[in-house]
Amino acid sequence: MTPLSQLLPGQYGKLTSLNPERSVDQRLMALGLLPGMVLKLVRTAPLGDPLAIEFAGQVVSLRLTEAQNIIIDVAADCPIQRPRPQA
Amino acid sequence: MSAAEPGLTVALVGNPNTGKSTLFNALTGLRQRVGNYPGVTVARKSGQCDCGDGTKVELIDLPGLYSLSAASPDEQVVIDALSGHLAEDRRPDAVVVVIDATNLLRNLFLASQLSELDIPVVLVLNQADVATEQGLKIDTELLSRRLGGVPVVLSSAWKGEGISAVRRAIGEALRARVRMPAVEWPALVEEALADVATGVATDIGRAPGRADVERLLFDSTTSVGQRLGWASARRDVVIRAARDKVRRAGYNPLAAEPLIHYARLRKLLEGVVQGGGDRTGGSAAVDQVLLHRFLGPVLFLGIMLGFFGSVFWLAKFPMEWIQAGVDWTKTVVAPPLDAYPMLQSLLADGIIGGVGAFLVFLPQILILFLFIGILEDSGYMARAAFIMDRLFSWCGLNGKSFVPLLSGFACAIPSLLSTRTIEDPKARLATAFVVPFMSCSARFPVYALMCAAFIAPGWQPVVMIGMHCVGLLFAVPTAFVLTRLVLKVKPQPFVLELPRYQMPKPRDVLWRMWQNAAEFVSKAGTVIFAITIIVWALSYFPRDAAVAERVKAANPSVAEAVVTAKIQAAYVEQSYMGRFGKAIQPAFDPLGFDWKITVGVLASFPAREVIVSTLGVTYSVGEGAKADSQHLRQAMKDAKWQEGPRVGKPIFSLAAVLSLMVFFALCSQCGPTIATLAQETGGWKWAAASFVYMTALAWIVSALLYQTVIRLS
Amino acid sequence: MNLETVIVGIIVGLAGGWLVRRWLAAARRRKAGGCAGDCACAAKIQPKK
Repeated sequence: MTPLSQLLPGQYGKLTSLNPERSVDQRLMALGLLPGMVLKLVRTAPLGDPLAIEFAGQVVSLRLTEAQNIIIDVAADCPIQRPRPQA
Repeated sequence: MSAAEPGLTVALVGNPNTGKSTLFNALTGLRQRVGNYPGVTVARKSGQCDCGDGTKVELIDLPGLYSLSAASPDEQVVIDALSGHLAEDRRPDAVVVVIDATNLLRNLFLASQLSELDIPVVLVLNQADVATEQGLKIDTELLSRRLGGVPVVLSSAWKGEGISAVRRAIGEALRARVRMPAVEWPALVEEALADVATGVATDIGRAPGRADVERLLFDSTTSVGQRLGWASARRDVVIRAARDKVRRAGYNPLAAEPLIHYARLRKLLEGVVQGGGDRTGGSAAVDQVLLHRFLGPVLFLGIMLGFFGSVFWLAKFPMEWIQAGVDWTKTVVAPPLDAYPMLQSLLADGIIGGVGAFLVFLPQILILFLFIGILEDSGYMARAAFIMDRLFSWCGLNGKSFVPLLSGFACAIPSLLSTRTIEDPKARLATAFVVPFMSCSARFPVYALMCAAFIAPGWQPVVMIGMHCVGLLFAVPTAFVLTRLVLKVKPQPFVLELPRYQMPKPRDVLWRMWQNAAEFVSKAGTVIFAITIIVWALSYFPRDAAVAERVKAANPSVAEAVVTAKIQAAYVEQSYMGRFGKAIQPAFDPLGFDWKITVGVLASFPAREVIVSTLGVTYSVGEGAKADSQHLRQAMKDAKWQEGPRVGKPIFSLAAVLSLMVFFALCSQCGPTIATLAQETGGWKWAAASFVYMTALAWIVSALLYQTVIRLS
Repeated sequence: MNLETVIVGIIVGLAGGWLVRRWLAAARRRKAGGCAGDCACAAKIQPKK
């Protein structure tokens, strides 16, 4: 159970929970990031913030402060399903 | 665009970066018109489209969005347009959802939400060529069947493939009128929705639409309640109770919508898509370089530098052609009018000289827009926002401010309007206040003129970039102070998609460039033209013959040509413009401005580009309406102080040139911008503050610069 | 007062009058909540489409 902000570039994680009260999380859900989904921290911006995360076939930028509130299970070697809609 | 148009309307929606506009261009064949939605920045793009069977529909291109729960007024406009809540527009008769074929699931979320709007739908799976490249096979028939007959079409808009299929599908949708199948909500959720509907109906006496009910229940903030006129006290009670029901169904009410929609979409898509390799691979590889820790910012700077450099040297030849054309026109127009010096001067010096000086910069403006268009279409813009976001958040803003601020380099007015995409009013105000610091394209001609005339070729790109940076240099602390100390803005959330890199489509980019060019030329032909005439008149009159006599008397033994030149110079000084300029000039003397420059700066209030035409007029008029009048540049190079402590020295010393450019970069001198700022901030307080602050800042910095440089050289 | 002066006067007058009308129209548009600039802002950069 770690915050997304602590993932290292290249690491995968499985989303355990979001906080739908916050607009950022609502946005992410509308983009398809739902509990149980695997995501990957692609990189951090050259200045350290924001982060680029990949899920469901898209790459999205997210700030460090926002990523702190997103909880995931680190899954070291679980590759992102080359997104099938069913995944 | 009138509300009474009897024809059919079809709206185009979809996620951003799906090639929607390319499809729009392909369907309308560039028979487009752009209008306004009041209150928001998004332009109303509409065009005529043939449905292949003879029916013509009006196609409306709505801005991209991810979900019907709007986060900003700009997104709200899309929803209002679709539900027919806009004052001037009827509900569309059908909706075309443009979908990225390589990412069906997410793109279909919006389409799935459209079921609540009860409107016929067409699904266009665009970018099908990319999907094929990735090895994806999509069974459109199956999908269409599962959706109850909604037409599903593959297309590749930029290749021009599938367009006729889209046309036919639109025609079919208008005839068969198949909607997106409704979502099957869990029983308790369905009850909750019914409760809200009843609540609204009892309180306002009207049954609300399905879409409105869903927004009220599922969105944490929505303007629907207000629009319906539902008193907030009652509203909160009903909605809270309804949301409790949703919780009992096992869903967080604010998460229910995406959870349930996506669950159904997954089932819908089972077996529809097969194959498919790495979706983000290609772009990821490019990003390894462009977003690299060290390479990234370096390349970003390099790209910006390279751009400004190429604007300069790519535009050089076209500029010379235009200049030659302008000069040629003068030689043609002037001689026949020798008998009518006043008219001759109006035409040659005033109109041709003034407008010509402005038109000459058309090539540079074109290349500027071309470049920005390429940046946007390729997907690099999002990367730039990604890199810069840290800086923005330090100033209390977020990357959302990047596009408005960047577009400020083109023109401040649409940039100010585009701040409407920023949700927080304080962040919006801060961004709007900072926008005028972005050197707008109207200042370009001034920099270009000064650089071309006075800066060595090798240094020109550096100075050009430098001037744009001057604005940035002061924008950052201004933003910081404003957001942290004055307004105390809360940190903004920031979620931005980094889209797949795409080759910018030449047709789209060039079309936009053409539109910009047309606008530039028409602005030259109209506003600048009119202002130039006024400026000419103010510089020409009054023409008192006594002045000529005085000059002749004071120079009895000087050559004819020199005396003529002196007479011309005296005439200009005596003109209304000259007198005004000389009166004001002492205030600008510490900046190294002579009265002609001062007048140019002040005359540019209605439109910044006017300074170039004004200088064109005052220098042209001053040296006489000769048929072979020199270029403005040469005239400025030769200009010397006629009196005062610097008499005999060139006016346009390096110090003065830099000081003028910096003044222009920093001062808030554009009337329309200030008016727009007043409009966007809901009052004159901030607009006035901006004007005073920026003008004072410009004056101080320019004065310091001039005084320092003149001592060093 | 010769023909030349009259022609020039007309041109200048037209230019001034046209500008004033245009600026008044812009002020009116601004009051109605529309675009306040008097350039056709359509062609400029659009927010993310």
